[in-house]
Amino acid sequence: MIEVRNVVKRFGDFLALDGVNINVEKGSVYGLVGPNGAGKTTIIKHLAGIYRQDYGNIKIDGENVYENPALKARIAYVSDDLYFFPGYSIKDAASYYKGVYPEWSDERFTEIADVFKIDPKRGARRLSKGMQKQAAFWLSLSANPDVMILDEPMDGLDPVMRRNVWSLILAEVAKRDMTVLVSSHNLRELEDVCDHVGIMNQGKIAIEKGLDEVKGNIHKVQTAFRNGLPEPLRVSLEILKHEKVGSVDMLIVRGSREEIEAKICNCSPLILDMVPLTLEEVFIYELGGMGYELEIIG
Amino acid sequence: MNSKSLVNKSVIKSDLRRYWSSGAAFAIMLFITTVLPARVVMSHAAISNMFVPEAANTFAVSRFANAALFSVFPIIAFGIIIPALLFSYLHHKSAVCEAHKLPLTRGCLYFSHLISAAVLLVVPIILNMLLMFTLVDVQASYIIMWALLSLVYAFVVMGFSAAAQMLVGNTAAGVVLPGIVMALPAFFTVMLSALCENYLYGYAEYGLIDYLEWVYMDYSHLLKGGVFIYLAAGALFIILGHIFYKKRALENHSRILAFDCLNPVFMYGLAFCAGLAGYAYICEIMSGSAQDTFSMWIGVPFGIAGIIIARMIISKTFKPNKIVKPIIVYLAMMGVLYLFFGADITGFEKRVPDIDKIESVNVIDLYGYPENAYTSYYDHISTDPGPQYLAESAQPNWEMYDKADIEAVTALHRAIVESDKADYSNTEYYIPIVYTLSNGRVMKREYNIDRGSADVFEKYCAVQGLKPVKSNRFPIISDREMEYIGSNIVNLGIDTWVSPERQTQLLDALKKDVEASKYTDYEFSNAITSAKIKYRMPTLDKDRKPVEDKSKWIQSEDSYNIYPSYKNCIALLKSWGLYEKMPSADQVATITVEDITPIPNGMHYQEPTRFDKADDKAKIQKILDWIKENDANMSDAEYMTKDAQHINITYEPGVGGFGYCDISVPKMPE
Repeated sequence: MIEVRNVVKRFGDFLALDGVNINVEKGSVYGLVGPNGAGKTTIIKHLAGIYRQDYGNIKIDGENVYENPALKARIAYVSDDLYFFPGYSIKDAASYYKGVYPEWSDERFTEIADVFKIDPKRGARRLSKGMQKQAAFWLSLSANPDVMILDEPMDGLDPVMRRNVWSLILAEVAKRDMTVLVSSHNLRELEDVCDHVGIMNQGKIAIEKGLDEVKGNIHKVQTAFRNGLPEPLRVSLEILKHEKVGSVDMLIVRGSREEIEAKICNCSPLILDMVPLTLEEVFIYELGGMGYELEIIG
Repeated sequence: MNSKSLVNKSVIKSDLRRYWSSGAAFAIMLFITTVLPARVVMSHAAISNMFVPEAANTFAVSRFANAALFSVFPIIAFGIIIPALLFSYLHHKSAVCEAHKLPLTRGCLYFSHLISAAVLLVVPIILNMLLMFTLVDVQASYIIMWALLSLVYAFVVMGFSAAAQMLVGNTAAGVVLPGIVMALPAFFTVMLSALCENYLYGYAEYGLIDYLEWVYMDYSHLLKGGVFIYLAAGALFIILGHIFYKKRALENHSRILAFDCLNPVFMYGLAFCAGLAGYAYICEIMSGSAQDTFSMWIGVPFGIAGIIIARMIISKTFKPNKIVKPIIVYLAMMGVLYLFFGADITGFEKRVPDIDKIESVNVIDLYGYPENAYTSYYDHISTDPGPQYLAESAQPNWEMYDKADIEAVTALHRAIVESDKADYSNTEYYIPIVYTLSNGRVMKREYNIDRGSADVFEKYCAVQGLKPVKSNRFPIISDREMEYIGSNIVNLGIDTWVSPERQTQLLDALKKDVEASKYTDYEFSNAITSAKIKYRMPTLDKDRKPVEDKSKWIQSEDSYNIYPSYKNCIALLKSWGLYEKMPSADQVATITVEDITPIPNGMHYQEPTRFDKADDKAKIQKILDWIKENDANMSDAEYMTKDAQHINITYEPGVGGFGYCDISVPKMPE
């Protein structure tokens, strides 16, 4: 569905995207995560057809996005930095979108009005940040897009509204095979909705896998040995982090659960407990391995 | 909706809804600057025309055209501002994303906004046109013409502004930079003229400034077919704007310029303008002294300041970084400019055309002969020949086609360029030279003549003595048809009528004397006696042919000072008792005497001393005697360099003439 190949973008002397590759399957929810300045918003603006890449291809359903209004008519982009025309109400904005998006549906606009509970006659610029976000989702979903590109979409929404909005989006995914690419720093939330994850760092996609695969390839291990962690284990395991709490060794290890378990068991541990990692922990440990360390302050 | 369409109704509707107030402001400004003044002047025109009905149309149209010219200002202002507002979304991070995430091509956005801009500019012009129909008393065709020309000009400015918006990165720059660029033709023309005048010896291309009328909508140019040039220019700007939009990197919002390659243009452009402005500023504040000696290098500090400011603007910081290389480049550019102007690498100053390549030449200047030889040639036109005749019909064609005449001028020209440059502050001897070359081109030069160069001055006198040149100053020797209708002899302002029989003798003597006199004979300031000749001559029609209908002829009155070299006239007037006939002290009511002391930068007039007849008759007689003895002995050159006195005589009522007389004489002993 979405194919990004070797995309390079420079802003003057600064290399913002350094050969980005992304694959998003139709009907999937793809989470794009990465540290600040990794290039997430930049690649998203390319996907929305706003920026033009210096090099590489960006295609959706096999077509280039840039200057392709027919394709862009099927894409809804909700940015982190929303813009509404001065003096425009949500109703005015809806009327404007109606004249621009061919698949706009008044019925859909009315249908989901109950979810947002905002008076459509209110001036969009006078709404709170969270309400403006709601308005942006309201308008975007009413355009019946096949692809939604979301940049920090839930920022500013309360927990209830987050659930409501995700419910609406996921319902569309289930009903119409809508594809979603979402960038967020709220990894806990992404963990619940994404089926694929791309971790971006320094203008590149460092890891791109299914969520289960990402999470299944890195584990937190709590173990203890009579004479400490055996040296052969230190060598054979790909240990990302090692902490010792009393006689217990806390390890973050990359590899399959079975393989790690077998190697440790061969060394006769006194205790062995393997705990699944959250996406946030995966993010921290994976990027830690790439030089983006978690600093302990104070 | 067709996704490939060039315009989108929803975008246009949204634009008009958001920016209708700009259109309304434009309508009001047009009303204030055009309709209102037109209404006022046309009311006055209507009153005036009650007395001169035949001139009604010409007068009304000229007044209306003057009033309509003011509309240029709001058209330029709103022609820039409205596109700047409509494309302002390009200058804000969130707005640019919102606009370009939409399923519309850049072309569609561009042309949709352009149509919105056009509507916001067109509707106010049409509205004001309708208002004019009801409020302004002028032919409807003129109002329609105004509206059409305003629309054309608005189209050009809108196109220009739209193209400029694609190049800039923020709205302030979108208004300021196009405004500055609009002013640049005027700025550069004035500055270039100043540089050429100061640096190119003989430069006389004052017509350069006329080209500005094309840039700033001169209605007459538009009427002469300029409409198509304007339309083409507007279309070109719009196409360029579209290309720029397609090339524009949208991430370059909020910068001054959206294209990096424009930064050097902006920087060196600002440096160049600042340098020129600084040069002009220094020359202006020092004017009165020898400003011509100022080097263009005095503008360099201003130019360097321009580079520093440009760097600060581009990098949005008060730190003047990366300025060394631009300053070196700027200095190199100034060096090239100096070579062009200062070292005359083009050979402009030394160029004298080959005589074979000259079709004709014109050296006529109103002040070519000393002041007192000047006749009242243009001052007494008593009949308005009407618009169907040449306005300058009093002026014959002074072009010289004769090879001998042309050769005399080129000889002078060659002598001038081969001699040292004359002192520009010496304006006593001056000559303009306008060659019409065989290839149709016109070559203009002008020079102040330095009498210190004997060769140049001799050739200058020879040119002034050429028949066509002399005829310009003394119509009596010209070949034009003239009907003499009366003459007077004037002695110190007191007229004596000359009978028809004597007039024939006087004209004959005067022609002989004028033809025989040399240029240097006219170097004397004063003559007690002068001859006033009244005559009529045919008006010229548009084809420069004389008009037969004498009711359309021009009546003129010329005054000829009787100089010491006019032997025939002097003998004749002496025989009539009319040469240097002095008034008696009894005829004088008052005399005032002012001392004139030459100082380097002009004449210094002291407080005048006044003598009244009643209380100082002896003194008045003494002054009259001094005038008679010394009036003709002071040349113009002496008058400019030596102490002198200016004397004003007011006569008793009934003495005749104008009742007064002014004359300058060498300073009287105490």
